[in-house]
Amino acid sequence: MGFLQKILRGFAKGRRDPWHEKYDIEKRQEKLQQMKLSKKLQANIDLIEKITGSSSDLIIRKFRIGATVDAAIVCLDGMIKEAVIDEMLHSLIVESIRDRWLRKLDISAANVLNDLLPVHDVVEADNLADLFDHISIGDTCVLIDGQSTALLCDSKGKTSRAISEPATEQTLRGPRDSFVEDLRTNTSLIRHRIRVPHLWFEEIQIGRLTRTKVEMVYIKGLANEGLIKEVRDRLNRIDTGSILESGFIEEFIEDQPLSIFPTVMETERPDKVCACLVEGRVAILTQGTPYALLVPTELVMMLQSPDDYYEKFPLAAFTRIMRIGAFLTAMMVPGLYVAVVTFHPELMPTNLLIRIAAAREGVPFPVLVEVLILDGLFELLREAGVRLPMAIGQALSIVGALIIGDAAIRAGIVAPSVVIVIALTAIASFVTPIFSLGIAVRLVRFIFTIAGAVLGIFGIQFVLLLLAVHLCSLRSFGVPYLTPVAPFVLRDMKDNILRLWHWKLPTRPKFLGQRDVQREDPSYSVRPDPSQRSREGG
Amino acid sequence: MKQPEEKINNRQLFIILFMIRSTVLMSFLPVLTSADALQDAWVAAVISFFPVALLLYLICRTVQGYPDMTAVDYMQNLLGRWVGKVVSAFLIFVFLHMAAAEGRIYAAVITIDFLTETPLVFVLGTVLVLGAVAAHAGIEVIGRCADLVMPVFFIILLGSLLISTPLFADGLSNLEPVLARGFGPPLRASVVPTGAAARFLVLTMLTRTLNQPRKVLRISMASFTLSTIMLIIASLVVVVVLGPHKGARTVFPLFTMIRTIQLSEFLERVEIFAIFAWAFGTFIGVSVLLYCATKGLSQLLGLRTYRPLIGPVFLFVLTNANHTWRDLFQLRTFYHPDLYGPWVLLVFLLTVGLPYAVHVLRGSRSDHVR
Repeated sequence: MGFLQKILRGFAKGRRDPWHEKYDIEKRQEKLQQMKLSKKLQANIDLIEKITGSSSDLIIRKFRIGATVDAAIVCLDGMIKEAVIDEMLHSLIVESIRDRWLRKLDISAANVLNDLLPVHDVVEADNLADLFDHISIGDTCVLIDGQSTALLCDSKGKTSRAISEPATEQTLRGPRDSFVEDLRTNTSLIRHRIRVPHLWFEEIQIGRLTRTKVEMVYIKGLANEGLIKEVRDRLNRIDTGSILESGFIEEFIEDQPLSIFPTVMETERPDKVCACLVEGRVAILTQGTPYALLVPTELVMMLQSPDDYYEKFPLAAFTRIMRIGAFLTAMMVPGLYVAVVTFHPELMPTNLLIRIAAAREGVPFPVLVEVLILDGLFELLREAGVRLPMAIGQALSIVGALIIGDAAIRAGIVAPSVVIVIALTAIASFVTPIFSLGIAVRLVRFIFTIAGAVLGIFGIQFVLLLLAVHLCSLRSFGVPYLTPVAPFVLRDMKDNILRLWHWKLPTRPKFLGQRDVQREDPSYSVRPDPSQRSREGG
Repeated sequence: MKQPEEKINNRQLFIILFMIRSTVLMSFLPVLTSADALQDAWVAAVISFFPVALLLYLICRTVQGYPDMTAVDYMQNLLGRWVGKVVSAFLIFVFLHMAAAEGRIYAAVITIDFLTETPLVFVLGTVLVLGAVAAHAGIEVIGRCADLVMPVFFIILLGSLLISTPLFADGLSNLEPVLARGFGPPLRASVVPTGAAARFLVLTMLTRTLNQPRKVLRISMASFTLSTIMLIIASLVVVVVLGPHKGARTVFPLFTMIRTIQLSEFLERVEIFAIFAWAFGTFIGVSVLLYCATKGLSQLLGLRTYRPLIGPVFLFVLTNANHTWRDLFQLRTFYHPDLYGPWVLLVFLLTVGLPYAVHVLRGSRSDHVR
């Protein structure tokens, strides 16, 4: 008996379905790519159920076309628009009987596609990989008995949230819309603004498991062909399991992965993306995230805000200079303070020096430790503030800034001047419009502080020059990171540290190497021709 | 895979030459010229213009004959394989020696004036590390760095010279009597600023990386003229403000002069800004010299890339800079006309005169044959 049991168990083992037990994810993907649809409806349905494990959201509805041929639709609950499915079923079940009776219609895939499917976008597929690709984005698959071709009908239901104001890049003036998680909504936001057919969207699927849709956006004929090819090549080279946010892509395509400075800019503002596109840059949109990527990116670009272009020239120029000042302040002021107090007190006016010395009387730590403690505390508060709901966040900042700061001074742990320095730094660090650049500045600030404590102002200068060498050696898709300052390009300085009047910006940035550099008629003048004016004035 | 050729443009070469010429002059040179010439230091500066211009002409003419070669290549072409190699090696040594001297002067200024407790080798290390890092990044990056720091460098130096003008009215008499002892002392004093033009030897390595090698003479002459004007102004200002004798005795007269300036009630000791600017120039100088030396060395050794040589060369220069001169006064002695004059004469004869002579002879012979 034992022998017989053994044989039976052996048979059972042999029959065990490899899809359930044996295949790991690599194998499953590989098998899926090879599998073709069969002509038998039931076999196809069984296969789909087997591969999906009869997932709870899988809908398989069997019916008959023209009351004669067996068929089924396959779709995923929650991804579809029910009205489209109902209309399809009505046509396939009810209308088909009439059609068949009237016209003696032969029920083939081609005829069903031409005569019976009231759907605008239908794709034919003969393999399972394509089938799952489509139903996973909300399409519906029609399988017909006797046909080895599946019809994949567009029935996507939008699950996107409404377009809202940008959360991280707010402006006083300018459009209030921002990207959302849905890719199509995002592309439409760009299309609304740039209404030429030369605005091209190129779709690339990245991620073996997530199969994330990524769109490369550029204006054909304006963006440099070499740049487009480079972006396409770098995107195609990405081989990874999953892409869940554009940050994943950023790390794969950047020129210098070791640098802490971002060489790819992220934004959630459609107006910013459009401004870059019309300069000849390339944007990368990713399904599932409101953050678009822009390449190539220079450092100065990250210190600019859309406000600069919407406000009048002098005001915009002033805020831009202030922002660059804030960028330097956020990076260097604690280091400079430590350096001056520790090594070069002679640089300070005597009265100020006496005051600072008096305030530091009894403080138990060296200046460096004081600054590091307060700076660390501030970073902690900021990080906590990001995670907390807004209402509690305010309470936290009050506790952090007012109570701890005040108590620390009263207890004699830190000097008031250090609190002023760190507060100034904190305010300045919030001025940087791009968050990823802000993080880089925070890290560099600590290095400056320590260098200031080791070698004084010369330490600061040492780090400053190291930073200069590093920034000068960075490139973003072939464009030097510090352009147009280093290498110096006079023509591009008109929209750099300052922004001149819009009518004074006749050319696009030179270093991008676009195919059409001229932006507007260079002979344009805001004041009309005097002869014309006198005629008009009559 | 063959790496794409690194290129710098004319403006960047202009800035590099200007900075490497100005730095030594700013920190150190007025004392050297005025040591002999006293109140006529500025005359020495004017005189030095002519021999250096000639030197530039010779360098550029030779280099333009071989626009796609560096010194190491064309020396072997002109002087024969072995002699060429020996002269190239000498040229590379000159680069390294100048880098060591430059770093040493910087470190000396810092440790004497500001960080008196810090060991010299530590400060020396920082400036040479900076140069090595930049040289490793390549000449393109050095060119961009030059673009970046030039405005700061120029504005601060010009500013520190200009803010001394209120002191001018009292001190103008310091310049008199003009040429009281004839042309002898200024002529002797002009040896050192002429010798400091040995830094222009970097042209023999850099011209190949230029976008437009044809314009190298024009650019270097323009750059040199500007730096000479700065030198003349600096000599004038130092003598006027400090007086001829104090100016001649002080170790870093320009910085001492700036220290005497008090901006309004609360800002004193502004010379730190001048030193800040000067350090930018030193950085560019050291990095260009290290780049030229390692690049030349790699060609001499037949290596494909110069980058692995940066580390050993850095250590060599650091040791050299630390041990060649016992203290600042020995360094000053080295820059004395009696010692420095023959040395640079040897350098110029071997690395400029000899190749140029062969180049001209060979050129005229080939003309004759034609």
